[in-house]
Amino acid sequence: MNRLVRFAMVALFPREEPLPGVEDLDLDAKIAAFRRESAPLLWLGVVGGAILFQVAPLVTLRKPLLASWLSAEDLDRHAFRLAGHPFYLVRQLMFLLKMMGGIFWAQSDIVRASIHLPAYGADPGTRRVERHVALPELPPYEPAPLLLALGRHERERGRGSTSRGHA
Amino acid sequence: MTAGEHLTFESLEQRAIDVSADFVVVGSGAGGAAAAVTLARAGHSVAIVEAGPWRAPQDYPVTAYGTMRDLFPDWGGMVTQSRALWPVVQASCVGGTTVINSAIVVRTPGDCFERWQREYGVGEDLRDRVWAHQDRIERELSATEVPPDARGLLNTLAKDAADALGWDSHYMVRYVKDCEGAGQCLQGCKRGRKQSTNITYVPEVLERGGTVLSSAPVDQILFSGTRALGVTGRLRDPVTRKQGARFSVHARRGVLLAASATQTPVLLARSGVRGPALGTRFCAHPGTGVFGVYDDPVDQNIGATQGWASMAFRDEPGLKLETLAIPPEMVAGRLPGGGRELVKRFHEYRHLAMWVTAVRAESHGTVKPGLFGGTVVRYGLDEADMRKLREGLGKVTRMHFAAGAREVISGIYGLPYKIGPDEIRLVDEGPLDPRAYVAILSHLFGGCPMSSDPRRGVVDGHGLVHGTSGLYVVDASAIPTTIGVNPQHTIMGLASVWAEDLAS
Repeated sequence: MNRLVRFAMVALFPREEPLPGVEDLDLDAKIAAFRRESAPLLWLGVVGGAILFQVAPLVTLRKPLLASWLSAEDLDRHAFRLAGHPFYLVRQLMFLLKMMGGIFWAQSDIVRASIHLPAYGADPGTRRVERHVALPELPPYEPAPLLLALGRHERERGRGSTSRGHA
Repeated sequence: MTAGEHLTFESLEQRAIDVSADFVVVGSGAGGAAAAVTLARAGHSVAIVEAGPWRAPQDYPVTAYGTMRDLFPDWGGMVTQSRALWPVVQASCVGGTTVINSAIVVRTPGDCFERWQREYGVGEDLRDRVWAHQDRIERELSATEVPPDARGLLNTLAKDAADALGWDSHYMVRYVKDCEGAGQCLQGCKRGRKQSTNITYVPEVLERGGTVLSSAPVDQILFSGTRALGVTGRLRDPVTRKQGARFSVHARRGVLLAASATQTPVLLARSGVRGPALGTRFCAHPGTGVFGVYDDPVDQNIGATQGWASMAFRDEPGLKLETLAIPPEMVAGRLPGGGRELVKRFHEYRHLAMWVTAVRAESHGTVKPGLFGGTVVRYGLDEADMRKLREGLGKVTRMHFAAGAREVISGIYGLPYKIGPDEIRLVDEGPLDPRAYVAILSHLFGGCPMSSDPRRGVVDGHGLVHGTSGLYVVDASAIPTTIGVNPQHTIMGLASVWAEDLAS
């Protein structure tokens, strides 16, 4: 199943210079973690989408072939057409696949750097287990420089802070 | 005062937990936390029981993957079962949805109380009491307008557009202290600026001697006859979802349910509570949006996730317009297409701004227990509400062009990928089939509607479940109608009023 899911995600998010494809981003480990961690129904939906992706060239390209037998160009056309298929349930299954593939692809440091966003770092996956929990203190105020410039512009336009709320 | 204890899943070998308190509150989001802190401040012992784990800001995920895994119930997999499968967005953690929403503060409009009184026979004295509590909550949770240094272009462009079109609009007031515009409201504010209840009211309940059980989904309300005596369930490992030790929480004075509009009706049904109105009147503000494509970068994820709104169309046709920055990895999946063309489309990410419309829908559905566990939400929009949704998209499309967008990506199935300023009619005349739209349900109401008539309501005007004693509903499920504004403040105000009645 993992290989089916991998195949469909790679076709949906291929290499396109200067960006890597999802296959270049440790995809096997991500799919394995997703299978292990996700809700069973969500995994089933993604697998269902991947199976559909494999068998559907007949409806997108009129070719009685599995998707894995298609040429690179046909595969790309198949991915595009299936994502916008007229049948709603087909679109929804593809939406699930795209959503998870898009998450694996766009959370990568390289893709984020290409859109001028800092790397994410790891999700801690931690929780509170201590018996006594105090009210937390606020860390020091650290606004982004880009926002400060925009804030100055807002004030110059007479759109500074108002008295609305309870500052 | 002796601080209370936080109890949670530790291991599969953990021993059963048995706790007693004056009041047990099921759920720790807007309603549960507001009610619990009101009771605790009045000197009562309170036990909060929350299905999800307790995550502090340092525990919050940073990615969309982590958010689905760590903060959403079942990875956010709940969808409406109707013609269109629209996701129901909620959180499952201490703090509930207040951890992942934008903490938007809007006072309950007066017309809501009038309608509840007229149509459901409740709320005669609610308005002034709710507003008084909302005034207090605004002070306590630092309700402030998004400051200029946190707005970001996503929000300032929207203000420009509304001003250009002559539409009344404003920068939002939110429960946020010194917002830094980190753009991570939806993943939980790692900077701890958003005053979600897991870092405010819930710790205060502990400091006042209360008990908090986390990773503790309730599966039954305990009764003696018609009197609610407490709740029970099994602790759950938040990683493997395996069930652990049984817990029981006994309530000397009352059981308050605040598990959300999708969970509270189901918990009542599974506990044997019956009534013609149980699970009915489920309603929502379905939301969807369009991307404007601008010549210069907008960088929508730098600045407040949601910082601008217009309520100019709340009364007619029944819409709210808002900004909403979604994480880039969600944009990658949401843009139409697949393959190389999809990746090319994503290249424009920095130039995209998403503005959304939320519909004050009159359609309603049901919330029932599923055959194999879980919740079944049956809900769809009728034609009149679909027309509102379409009109809302037309309005935010016009706003984008008024703000200087060169194109708009509507995401509506059947329309061209991009439309220009002379093609707005394509949105105006778009399909009325809900399956053509990518929408979500994030403001949920009903399922246990309040009404003085037990045939039409599950609870009375004080949140008491008809036909029972000691059992109350203090969350959005008691609200019988949509309200046309973001609901957190209303839920907190109502829960505070009803808890105040109990405290005295």
